[in-house]
Amino acid sequence: MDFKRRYTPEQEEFRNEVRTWLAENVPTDLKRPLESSHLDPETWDKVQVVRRAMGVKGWLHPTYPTQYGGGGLSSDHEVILQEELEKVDMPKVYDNTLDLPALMVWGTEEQKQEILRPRLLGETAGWQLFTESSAGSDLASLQMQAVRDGDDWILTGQKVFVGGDAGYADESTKVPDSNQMGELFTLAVTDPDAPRHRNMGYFMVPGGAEGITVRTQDLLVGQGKRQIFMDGVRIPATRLIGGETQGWQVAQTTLEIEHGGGGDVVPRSRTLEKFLKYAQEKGLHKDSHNQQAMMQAYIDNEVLRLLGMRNFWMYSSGQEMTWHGSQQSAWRRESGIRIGDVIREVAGLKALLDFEDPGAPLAGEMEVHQRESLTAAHPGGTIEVQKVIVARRLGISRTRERAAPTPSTAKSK
Amino acid sequence: MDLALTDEQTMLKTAAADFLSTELPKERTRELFDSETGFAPDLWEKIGQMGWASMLIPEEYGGQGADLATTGVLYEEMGARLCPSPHLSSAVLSALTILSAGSDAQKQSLLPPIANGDQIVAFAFTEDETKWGPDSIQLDASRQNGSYVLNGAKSFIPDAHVADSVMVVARTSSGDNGDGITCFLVDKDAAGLAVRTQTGWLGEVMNEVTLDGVTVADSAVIGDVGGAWSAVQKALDAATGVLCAYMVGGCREVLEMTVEYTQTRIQFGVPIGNFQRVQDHVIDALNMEQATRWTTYEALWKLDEGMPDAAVAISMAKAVASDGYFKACEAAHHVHAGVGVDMDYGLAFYTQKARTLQHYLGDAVHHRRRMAELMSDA
Repeated sequence: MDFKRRYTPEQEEFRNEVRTWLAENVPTDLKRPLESSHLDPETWDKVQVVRRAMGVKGWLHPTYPTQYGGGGLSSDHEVILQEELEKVDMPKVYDNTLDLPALMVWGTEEQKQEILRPRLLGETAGWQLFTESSAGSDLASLQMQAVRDGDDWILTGQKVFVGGDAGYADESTKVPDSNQMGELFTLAVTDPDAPRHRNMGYFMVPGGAEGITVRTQDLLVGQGKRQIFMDGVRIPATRLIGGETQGWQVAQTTLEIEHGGGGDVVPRSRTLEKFLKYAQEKGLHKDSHNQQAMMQAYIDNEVLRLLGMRNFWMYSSGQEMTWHGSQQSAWRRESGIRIGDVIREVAGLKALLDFEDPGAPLAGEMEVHQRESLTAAHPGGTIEVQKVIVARRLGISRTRERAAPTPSTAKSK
Repeated sequence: MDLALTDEQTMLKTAAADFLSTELPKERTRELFDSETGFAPDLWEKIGQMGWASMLIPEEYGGQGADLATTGVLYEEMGARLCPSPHLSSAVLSALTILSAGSDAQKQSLLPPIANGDQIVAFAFTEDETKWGPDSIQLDASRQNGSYVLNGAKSFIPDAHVADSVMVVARTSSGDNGDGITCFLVDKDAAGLAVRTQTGWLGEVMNEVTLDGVTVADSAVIGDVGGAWSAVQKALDAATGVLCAYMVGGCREVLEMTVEYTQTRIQFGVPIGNFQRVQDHVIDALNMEQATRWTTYEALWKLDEGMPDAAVAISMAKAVASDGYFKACEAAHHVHAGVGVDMDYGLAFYTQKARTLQHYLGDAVHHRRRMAELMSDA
C-alpha cells in the first residue's frame, strides 16, 4: 500500500518541462474571478490562447491517444500536469469534457478524427444538453425529437440547466456566442414508439447551427445556466454517436465519469482552507465548539480527498468500478453543504457578506461558497440519484446494474 | 501510488481470515462475550504460535519487525471476527513503550516473551476521568527509601485481569505537556495491587487497577524518570492506528451482514433492499466503512513513512473510526430491526464493541481537539 504518487526521473523531467512551459506561456496578468462565471472577455481570450497551445502539446487531455489529439501519456503525467496547473492559478474557461469518454468508447474512426480531435486540442468547448424541464432525475423521459431526413437529423425541443460557468456573455443578452458553445452533446428521441432507454440517440450538435436559440436562466450562482431551444436544427448523420437508438447506452459512459468514476487527482477546497486560516487568525477556534466544528469540516473534506484518490487509483489502473463513483459524488455534494453550514456557524453573519461589502471576510469568498455549495449539490444527478446508483451497484436494489464502459475499462478488456 | 495490498499483506489477510473463521465461529464469540474473563487461553496460545504477537517487535528481540500497515491488515481481520485478545495491550502498547523507552537490557529480557505470547502486559493509562492526554495522569509515584511507591487508581484497563504484569503510566512530578510522567512495569502479584473487573455493557472486559502503596525497584522504571511521555505518545499513536484497523474490520463485517440481510429478508412480498429508505441506511454504513478504511490506512502508512503530519492523520482516523463504527452499527440496527437485537444473530456484539472502542484510546472529541492543537502548532 502506497499513498504517495512517486515519479520516475523521466517524469520529474516532464514536470520541469511543464513548469518551465507554464512560466513562459501563462500570462501573469490573468484575473481569477471571485465567482468562476464572472470571467471577462479579455481574460477568456488569453486563457483560450494558453489552452490551444497546451492542446497542441497534447497536455489538455494527456491520457488520450495522440492520433486523436491527446498526449498519449500515462495517468502519472496527467497528475503532474494537474499539480503544476493548480500552482499556476489560471482561471478556468468553460469546457464540459464529459463527451470525451463517450466519443472515445463509442465513436467511429471518422468521428474521432472530426469531432474528438478538435475537442482534445481545445479548439472546441463542450456543452452538455441532457436535462429538460420535465426530465431531470428521470432523464430517460426526455422529449427532444430527432427526425431522420436523408443524410441528416433534424432536432427539435428544449434543454435546460445547460453549461454556463466560467464563460462570459454578451452584456445585454447575457448569452454566450457560438465561439464559446463549440459542441453541444445532447440526447434526443429517435424512435418515439420504442420502449424507454431504447428510443434515443446521442448527438453532437455544432454550437453555431441554424435554429438554436439561447436564453439565460437566473440562478442562485453566477451567470446562471442556459435554456437552449432547438427549432428544426439540421445536422449531418455523421454526428450521431453510436447506434440510432443506442443513445442511452452511450450516455452511460458520460454519466459514469460525471458521477465520479474517474476520480480526483488534486481535490481541495480553497475556500475551506482560507476559512480555517481566517477563523484561527480571528481566534474563533478558541471556542471549543467552533474548534470541533472546524475540525469536522476539515475531516469531511479529507475523506472526500481519499475517496477521490481511491477512485483515481481504480480508474487509472483499469479496475472496474461499481458503486465507487456515485458514492464519492454523493459525499462531495453532502460534505459541501455540511462545510458551508460549519462556515456559517463559526463565522456567523459575516459568512453572508459579499465582495461589495468592505467588511466581508476573505473578500466575500465565504458568501460565494454559501451559494455555490448548495447549487452544486444537484447537477449531474442529485444526491438521491447517486444513492440509487450506489444501491443498485451494491446489489441490494430491485434494479441491478454494472458500470458503463469508460476509456479506462474499455481499454483494459 | 498503489492502494492495493502487497502480496505479503494479501497472504497474511487470507491466513488470518481462515484461522479466525475456524477458531471463532459465532457461537464461540457469543460464549466469550458472555464469559467472565472474555479471554480464551487456547486462542491466545494459537495466536502466539501464528506469530501475531511478534509483528511489531524487531527481529533482534524475537519479533518480525513488520510495519504498521501490515499489522493493520491483521487487525482488520481480527476486528471483523471480534477476536478478543490482549494483543493491543501487550504486543502493541506495552511492547512499543518498552521498545522506545526501555534500556537495552530491558528490551532483551522483556520483549521476547511478549513476542511469543508467553507474557501478557496490561497497559494502565486512564484514571477516573478516562481522558487520554498527559494532564489526566495523576497516579502518584514517590521516591521513598531508594524505591518508588505508587498510589492511585486506573480505570477501564483491558486485560489487567489476565495479565502477568501491568505497565503503569504514573506521575513522578508535576509538569506540563507530559513532563513528570514515568512508566513502571509492575508485577501483577505485587503487594498493594488489586484488580477489580468492571461490569456493564462493555465491549471488552475492563478493570479498575488500584495501587495502594505498591513499592517497586528502580529496575521497574521503563525509560527516563519524568520523561516517558514521548515514548507513551508514540506507542499510543501506533496502537490507535491499528485499533482503527480493527474498527475497519468491524464496519466491514456489519456492512456485509446488512447487505446480505436486505436480500434475504422479505416484507411486502419483496426483499427489503428494494426500499429506498432501507437503502439509505445501507449507504450510511458503507460511507462510514469507507471513511474509516481510507483514513486509517493512510494514517498507518504515514506513520510507517515517518511523515511529519502522521500524528494528525492518526487522530483524524480515530475521530472518523470512533464515530464511524458505532454509526455503521446503528444503521445496521435500523435495517435489521428486531432481528438485530436478538443475541443469537450477532449484530449486537459489534454494537457493544463499537461503543466501547468509540472511547478507548480517545473519542472523536479528544482526537479532533488534538488535531486542532497539532495543526496550529505546525
